Amino acid sequence: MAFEEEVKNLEKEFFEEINNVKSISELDELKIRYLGRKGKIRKLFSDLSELPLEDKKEAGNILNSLKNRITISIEEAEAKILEENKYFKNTNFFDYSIPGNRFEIGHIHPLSLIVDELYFIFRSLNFKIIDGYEIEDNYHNFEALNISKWHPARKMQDSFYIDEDHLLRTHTSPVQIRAMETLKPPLRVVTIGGRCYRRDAQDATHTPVFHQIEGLVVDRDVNLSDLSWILKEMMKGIFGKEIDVKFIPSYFPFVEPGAETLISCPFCLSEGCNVCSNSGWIELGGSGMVHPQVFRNVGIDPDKFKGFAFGWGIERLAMIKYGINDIRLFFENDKEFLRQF
Amino acid sequence: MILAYNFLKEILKEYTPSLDELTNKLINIGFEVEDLIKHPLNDIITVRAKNVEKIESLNNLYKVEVTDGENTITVVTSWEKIKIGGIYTYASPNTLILGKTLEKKQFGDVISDGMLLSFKELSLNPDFLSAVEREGIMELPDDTPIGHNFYELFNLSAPLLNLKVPFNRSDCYSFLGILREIGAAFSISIPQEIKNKPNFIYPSFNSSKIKRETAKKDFKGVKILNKEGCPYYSCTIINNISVNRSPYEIRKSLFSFGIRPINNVVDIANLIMYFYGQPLHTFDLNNIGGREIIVRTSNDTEELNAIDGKTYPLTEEDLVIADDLHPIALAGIIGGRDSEIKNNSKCVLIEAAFFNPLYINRTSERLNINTDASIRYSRIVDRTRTKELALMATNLIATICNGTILGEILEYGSDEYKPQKIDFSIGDFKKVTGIELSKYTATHIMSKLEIPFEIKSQDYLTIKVPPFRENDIKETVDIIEDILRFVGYDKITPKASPFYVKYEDENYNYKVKNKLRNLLIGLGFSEVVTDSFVKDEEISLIYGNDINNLLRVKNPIKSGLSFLSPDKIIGFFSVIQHNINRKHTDLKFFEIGKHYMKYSEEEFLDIILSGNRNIENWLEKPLKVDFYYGKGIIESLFIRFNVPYKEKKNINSKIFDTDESVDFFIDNSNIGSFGKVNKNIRNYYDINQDIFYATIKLSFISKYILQIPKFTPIPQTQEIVRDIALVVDDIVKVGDIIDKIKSLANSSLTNITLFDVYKGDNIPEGKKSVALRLNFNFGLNKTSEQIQKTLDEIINNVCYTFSAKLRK
Repeated sequence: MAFEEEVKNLEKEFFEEINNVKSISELDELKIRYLGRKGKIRKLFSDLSELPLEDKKEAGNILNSLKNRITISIEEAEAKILEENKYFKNTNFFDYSIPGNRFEIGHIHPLSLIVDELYFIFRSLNFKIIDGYEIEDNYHNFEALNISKWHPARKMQDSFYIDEDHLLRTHTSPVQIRAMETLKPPLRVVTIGGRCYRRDAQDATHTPVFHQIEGLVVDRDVNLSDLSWILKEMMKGIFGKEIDVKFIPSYFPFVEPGAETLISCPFCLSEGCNVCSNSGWIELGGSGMVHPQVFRNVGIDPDKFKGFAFGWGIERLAMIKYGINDIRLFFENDKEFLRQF
Repeated sequence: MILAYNFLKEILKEYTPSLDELTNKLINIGFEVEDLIKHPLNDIITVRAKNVEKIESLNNLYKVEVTDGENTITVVTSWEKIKIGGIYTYASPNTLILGKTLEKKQFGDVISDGMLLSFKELSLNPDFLSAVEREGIMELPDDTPIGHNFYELFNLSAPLLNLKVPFNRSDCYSFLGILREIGAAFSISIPQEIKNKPNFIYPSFNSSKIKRETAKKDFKGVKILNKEGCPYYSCTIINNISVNRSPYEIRKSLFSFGIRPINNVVDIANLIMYFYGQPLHTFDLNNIGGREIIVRTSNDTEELNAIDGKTYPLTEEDLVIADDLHPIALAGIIGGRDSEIKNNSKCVLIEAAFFNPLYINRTSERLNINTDASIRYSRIVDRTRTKELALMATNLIATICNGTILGEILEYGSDEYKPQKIDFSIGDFKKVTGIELSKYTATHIMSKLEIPFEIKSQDYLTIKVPPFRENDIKETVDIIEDILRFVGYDKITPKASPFYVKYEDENYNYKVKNKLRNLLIGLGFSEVVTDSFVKDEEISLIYGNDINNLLRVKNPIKSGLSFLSPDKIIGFFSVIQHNINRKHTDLKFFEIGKHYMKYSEEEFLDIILSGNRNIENWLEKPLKVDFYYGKGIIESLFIRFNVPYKEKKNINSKIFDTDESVDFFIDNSNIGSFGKVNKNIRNYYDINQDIFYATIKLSFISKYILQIPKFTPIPQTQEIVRDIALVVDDIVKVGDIIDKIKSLANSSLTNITLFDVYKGDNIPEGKKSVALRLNFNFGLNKTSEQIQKTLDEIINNVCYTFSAKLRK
């Protein structure tokens, strides 16, 4: 068949030509001549239409196959020429300053970096690191923590409900409740980086999803001084220097006395800067002595045992430590953001 | 809760702490100052209009002559409601108003020497004003003294402190409660008459002027059908009232609390509430059907048209105040429109009650109504003062509205309060706080807080909980906290905790994650953290109607965002979109986190890759990520941790391309998948590059990751390497060949590498050539003949099994 022959000739012609090609510019010319818009292959494709219908398909396949082989040969020839043209093949000067073959190393998310640090701090303080479920029941998330059904504090922690009795936990406290239910006191436990949910509108300091660190110590003879010491150790571990911890009274149903925890600003050393809004202090979150009712709820005798607890956002710590001004950046995962950690 | 600094000054006089001292102290005793509301201190003078004339030559302008008591000043205004005798605020030329300096101005032949001001020009919070006052020139009550600085006159020259009251402190939702705390904090005695002198609210009050009649109005009385919800209800009736604007003195007090004036009836009720914490409700008795009040629970056929303009559907949980037929108020929360006091109301019924906080909380939460009344009732009010305050309000309203009190107060139920007794040992304080406490300090603080106590012994007190602290003092720790607030939280000093408990076990879950994380960053992957919530639309894109097993919240933060993600692909796409929009197209990310189903939450390692494999480089051209590149990463990870995985064709996946995807198994459990994300999903997100996604259940691989290595001696003999090339049918799977060789060779095979797959010249149609490198180590005890024989056997067996030909 005439068409098949034409294809064969073209193939032969091409492979003869390509063997003589010596440079990239010659190769480009060859490429245009065969594969270009007005090239030989395109011409044959247009000739296809003149063939009888029954032959069209087969001829098309043959032509496509040739086109592929030509494409591959051109690519191979290009690689070969480039290889031969490589700088090192043509010089005796060794340039040590040419950048080496670099590759990209990944980055650990800043929230994980804080989790890592907390993990080692609390291991060294001999805490047991515990996890729990994100889907909780009302009892463990609220009632056991002395937040009764119509307690106004429930409004403060506006929750996502799955059904009547199940919700996405609003804090990691249910993990501590379950620990107290199952482990015998004395105990020292901490949850690090547990995901929590609150129906807060999103802004620079709030996201509906966030992560908490929450610690609990139950023992015969512990008080707010011990809490203060543990927190100081924790801050020393995170910020790598002595940080002052102070408390102001605050109300949380599950601790009494309850406190808002503040740390001296690690940036200005309490001189006043924009991180601490010139107050010298930064608010972290709640802490205090475990409420006796919480102990009674989990079957611990409040006359025999005392306990303290503390909890706040990992995001908050990361924002302070790294000077991040918007909590939403953690969840946006911009490469330029991640690259910095 | 608003606290006016000037108002405090009027009471504490020379003992008033400075603003800074006050603010700091309040924070240190548990009252956060949320903000300081400050007003400009311009010299704005109150004046009376003496004469008003329309300026003929100009449209809508009036020439007004005003007096400050001494001088007469001419100003021009466009406010058509301006009237002779009205009291207004006046600014003279050169005063700075809203950032602009006022100048004399000529209108026609009249020169305006300054101007009369609107609330905006006074920089007042619109919440302070009634609707009428918000428009146009601010008109003050008729008895407002003229010739005075406006801001001083209304107690606005010093800031208002907006205090955040802790939930448990119902008593501090009143001025008196805050005052008690300030007294205790600064050791200042609070004048006792503040507690019950109506003159304190309205200095012109004179009890001899109150008009009373014993004659009863045709009021049938009150029936309490739900005693649990309403233990106590009292009411008084005042007839022939004239509803009007409140006098200046009342107005001044309202401003001090940041309350919006409404009328002289409601204003008094509000002031009593802000002062003493007891909410009162005022009804127009003539609009109470059947002239009777029934306190009962509602039902779901009823509703209330409330004074906030909304209609609330009711249920049998709601406690209502009803007339003979319909609810006229939600008890302790909000009143109804029909019975509210209007300008033409003639007879007022004043309600003072004690409602059960449970009912108030339940209803106000369900209907999402927070009013001044509900905030207080939901935290318990001091019922021992309800009657007394009802009478005070009645006397004040009767005086100010010029009405006649009809009969005596009507009381139903009981306002009895039985104080709880709590034993408190001084030594307990140190056990909780670590701070030494003296009996003197303890009793001093108790006295200042008006908490009665008896000294039982040297170290023991018995405390009687006062009614205004019923809500929050329940046991010893509550006393400890109260004392600590005044001793000072800053006295808590750090003390090293001895470790009484020893935990040997680590958190293995954490260890697994840490190992994976470190490995993956080495491979160039960055860790991401994505939201758990995904859009309903995204879920239906992937899961269609197959959503019954997915986890969904009933009350999403916004509609269409109710699902928790059963995979990470959706979260990853938002990361991909974000980065591609920012022109970052080479993406390698992973996340270790939970996938959510209706009945489970499980931890996964999820990986995404797209774009170029490596950064652009002069040594090698950047290659695109493809199926085998990605799969290789997952395989390498498995091999690194000795995970005994198997693979199968991925079927029935909603995420992957039907060809380019694979499932991983251990025994019969599916441990994860890898593949190219199907085009449908990609197109939905408008992404034009291939995306590869892997998802692996952590629980299945963690035991291998945690496996402690067991050393086996390094072989002393040399490895034997054999290259073989097999020609097989195209449809034979290379994986099957490799598996077969592995199973035949047992432990002597140390490695197997596929180094070429080829189709084309010299290979027959429909066949392919598979080239494998086999590394063996047979140990010491085999001769070369035996080895050759074993190799031949393996190769023959493979050739037979796969109808393969050995290629020479």
